[in-house]
Amino acid sequence: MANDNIIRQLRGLNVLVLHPRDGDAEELLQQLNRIGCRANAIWPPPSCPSDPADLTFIEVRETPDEAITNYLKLTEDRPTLIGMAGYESPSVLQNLIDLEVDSVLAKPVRPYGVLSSIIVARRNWQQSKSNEKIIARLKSKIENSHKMNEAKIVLMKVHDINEDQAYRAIRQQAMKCRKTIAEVAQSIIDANVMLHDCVAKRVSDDDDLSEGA
Amino acid sequence: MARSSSDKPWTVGVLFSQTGVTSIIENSQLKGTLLAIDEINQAGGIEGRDISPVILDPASNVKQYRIYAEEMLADPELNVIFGCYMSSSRKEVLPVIERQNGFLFYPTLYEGFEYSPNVIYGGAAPNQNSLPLAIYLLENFGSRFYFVGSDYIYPRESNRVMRNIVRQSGGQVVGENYLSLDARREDFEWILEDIRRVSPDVIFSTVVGMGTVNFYTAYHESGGDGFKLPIASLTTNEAEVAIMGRGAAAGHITAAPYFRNIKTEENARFLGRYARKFGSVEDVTSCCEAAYSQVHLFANALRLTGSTGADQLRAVLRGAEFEAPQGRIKIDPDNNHTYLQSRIARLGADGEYRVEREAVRPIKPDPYLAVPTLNDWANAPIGTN
Repeated sequence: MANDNIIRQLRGLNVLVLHPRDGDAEELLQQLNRIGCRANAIWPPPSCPSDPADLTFIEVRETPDEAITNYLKLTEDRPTLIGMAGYESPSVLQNLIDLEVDSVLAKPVRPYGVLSSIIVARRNWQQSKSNEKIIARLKSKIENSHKMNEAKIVLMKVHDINEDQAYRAIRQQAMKCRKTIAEVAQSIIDANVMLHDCVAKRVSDDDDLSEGA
Repeated sequence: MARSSSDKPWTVGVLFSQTGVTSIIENSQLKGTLLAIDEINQAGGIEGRDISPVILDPASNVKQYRIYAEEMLADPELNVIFGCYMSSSRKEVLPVIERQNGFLFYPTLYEGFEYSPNVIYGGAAPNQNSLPLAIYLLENFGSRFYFVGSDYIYPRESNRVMRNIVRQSGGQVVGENYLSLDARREDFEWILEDIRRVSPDVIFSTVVGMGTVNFYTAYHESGGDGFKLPIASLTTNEAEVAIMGRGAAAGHITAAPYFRNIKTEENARFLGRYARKFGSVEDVTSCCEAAYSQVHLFANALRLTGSTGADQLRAVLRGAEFEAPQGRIKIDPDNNHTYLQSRIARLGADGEYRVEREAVRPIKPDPYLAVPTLNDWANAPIGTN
């Protein structure tokens, strides 16, 4: 129940508010305090991120704030981002897109809506984190399966065996050497390339010689 | 202070249902409100002006609360409303109050997760009643809970809190059923049958209003015994017990900040005046006491502000204290809820509540407590009577 966890973990969140200290920032901090989050407000945004926050509220205006963009660039793990916007003009909207916020809190800030925007942002952020993981896993899976096919073909040609035998040979080698199947496959491919290069090189050397003769 | 007849009174709205399914409890809130207004007026009013209530009866009809709140606030002299019992009625009134920058005193326990700068919450939040009750039940009766509730916001959210606590302590919820607010006695039969079949350790009821009387009576008639398998509740109160009778009530348990028979000087004075005004104290409940205290908190604030403007009232109400019949209470400046006493009482064979446990000091309200842990209770020391 991922959704249940989002609510469960609310109070453990480290929240950072990057917004000028005005009535909106004050109202937000008070509501965060009622909800029970650990909230910290810093303005102007610090030049280097110190305490990593789980969730960061940022001011979004017509023009991108350089201090905020720099701060976000320097932050290693992208926190959950909530944009605080007072206008819905196209340039503000574009900045919301460019900053890749996970949700929006409309200004003037009212106590209602803070909780919902946090929940929605956390859900979006978790979703994109888990999507990134899944995509990375699938990428390496596809790469490995390409490698495996290539290595199998090498073995089948060299030893004149069928695909199944080639697969088992690679697997056995992997177990013997305590390596992954992908690593063994890569070695076979590399070795094959090298052998091929050597032969190709000699042939071309011969060509050069014959031409010179 | 010289008083002249030309002094205009302070007009306030009073919005409790005198008819319909929640009228038992809301009538008791209405009476608590009117008693406090009487006391204030008899003592000379505020700045020599009486408080004059505009009383409307929404008849337990949720939509009617909104309509009446709009009507009340249309009067430029009226900016403060005392009222609402069910959360659904408060949710109707809230947007009206906020839009007009009016002020609502809400003297009822509820499920939490709300803060409006225009509301003072006078009843218990779950950390002040659900949590202590759950721990008491787990210690004394066992860990198999059966939930019965009326079908609206408060019971479902309240059960969500209770379910989390029960699960954390390794217990389980062995049944959960909801009936409409106007459930009759016979409507509870299939639930009672299910309870007999499942045989839980305790029944946790969030049935409210007239349904409470019907549920307890049906339980009693079907052979249920509160001393063997009690029904525990956060809302069942003296007024409902008076109607269902001591037979149906005996053995059951309620958690609340106030019970009629607690021994404080303020309570004795409160009950004395209540009896003189209404003839009997039979229907005095914790929600009635909360309503009474909220009017006094308002009056004390009005003495300082001389205005019923929401911004002025809010500024002086935050942190305000009052020596209430339940003991000293205080409005939490962080969240507009109220530091309250926490008591757990069981009904004897005579139909009287006896306090079995109480917090040694008022508990700070924590309206945004999503997942109470049993440790939270450590912050609220409890003495055993």
